[in-house]
Amino acid sequence: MVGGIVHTRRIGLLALALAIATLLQFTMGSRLMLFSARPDLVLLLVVTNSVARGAEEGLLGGLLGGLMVDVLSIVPFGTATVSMGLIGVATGLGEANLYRANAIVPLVAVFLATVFYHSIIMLVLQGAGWKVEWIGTLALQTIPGACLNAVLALLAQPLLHRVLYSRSVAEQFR
Amino acid sequence: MLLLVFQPSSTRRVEDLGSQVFAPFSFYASGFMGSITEVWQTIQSIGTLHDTVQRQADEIDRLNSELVRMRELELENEDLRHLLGFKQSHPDLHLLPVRILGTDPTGIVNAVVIDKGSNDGIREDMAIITWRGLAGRVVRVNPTSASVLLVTDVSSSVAARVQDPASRASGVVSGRKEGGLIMRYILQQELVQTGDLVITSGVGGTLPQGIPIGTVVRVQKRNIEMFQEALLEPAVDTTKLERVYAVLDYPKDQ
Repeated sequence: MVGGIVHTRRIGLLALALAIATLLQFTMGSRLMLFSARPDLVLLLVVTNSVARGAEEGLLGGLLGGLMVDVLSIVPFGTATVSMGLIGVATGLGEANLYRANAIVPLVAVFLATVFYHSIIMLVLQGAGWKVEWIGTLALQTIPGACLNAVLALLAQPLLHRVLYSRSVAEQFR
Repeated sequence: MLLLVFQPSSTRRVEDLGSQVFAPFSFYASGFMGSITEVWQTIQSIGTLHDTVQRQADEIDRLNSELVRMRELELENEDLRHLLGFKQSHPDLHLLPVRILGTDPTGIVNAVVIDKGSNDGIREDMAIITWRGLAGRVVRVNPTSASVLLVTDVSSSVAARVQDPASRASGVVSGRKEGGLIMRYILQQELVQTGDLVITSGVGGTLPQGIPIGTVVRVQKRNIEMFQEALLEPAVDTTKLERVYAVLDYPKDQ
């Protein structure tokens, strides 16, 4: 009972955090950019959540975050939902123990997730008849963005540990 | 004896002596008392001093915000004056002011969302401009908002021509990932020079003609190729869009 309430509350908080991240990304846009690198706060949150919570909650976070991005994006609807859902599952498969064992793993996960996410979007855009400059986008946007996201993930480590700790507390109620 | 004492000259001397003796004391005493009075007045005003400082701080805040508002109004005024000039050179354009709500959250596409949609008469392919020139084109319309693909996106294609009457070279302008714009498909024999202004040609009928797109900064010409290319500096800085307008209507027979 208590575990269920904790779970629902956590999902609610996650949805709120994802909504705030999406709005920040939408309204701040280019002002968040560092040189040509633009942080992807929603993706960062999705990966951080799935790393801490595992594949099931990772999928839920990915679908929620992707849906919010899809609503505001010009990219064909569903692209962000599906790709972030996949990222949520994939990065959640490692479970917390793997990430606890090696602090570099979450950074690599965020880096790879960014590359995968951008590649999926470009693939869908190309399929929809848009002109896509693969090399230019990868070199000037994806890789710098992935590096920035990885650095931000490193800075978010204390938050990640707090989330991991709260998980063990929550599990005591189950 | 008494008469001697109270003689006017004697009393005068006593007075003079007294005043000479007391003068320095009274000088310092009056200064001291003045300071005491000031301190006392200050102590008395401490109660009201806080209110006074608070009132003045509020006044400073109010004036500062007023100053910021005035600066914004000045900028808006300047912008509207430029727009008036633009309107005078394009009298047939029917413009609707729109506001930028945000940018595409994926970051892969150079697009923005505006606060007007089909309910306000916005339709697909409408031009979005500032007084400086073309900002983008509407690609998706909702009832209360619309998505605009910016001219700087690689997928954007705008039929363009060089404004210089000696050239009138035509081509297609797209965005570049490296920044800026590129004008492609310019025939080799056409004359294009650095500094030339490139405008919309109106070919295709989706955008009005004569809207500035950018200025030529470099011409890439190789004799083995059929076309030459020109790199352009965009007329509009799409990263700092503020007051933008949708071209609702324009004469199609230009």
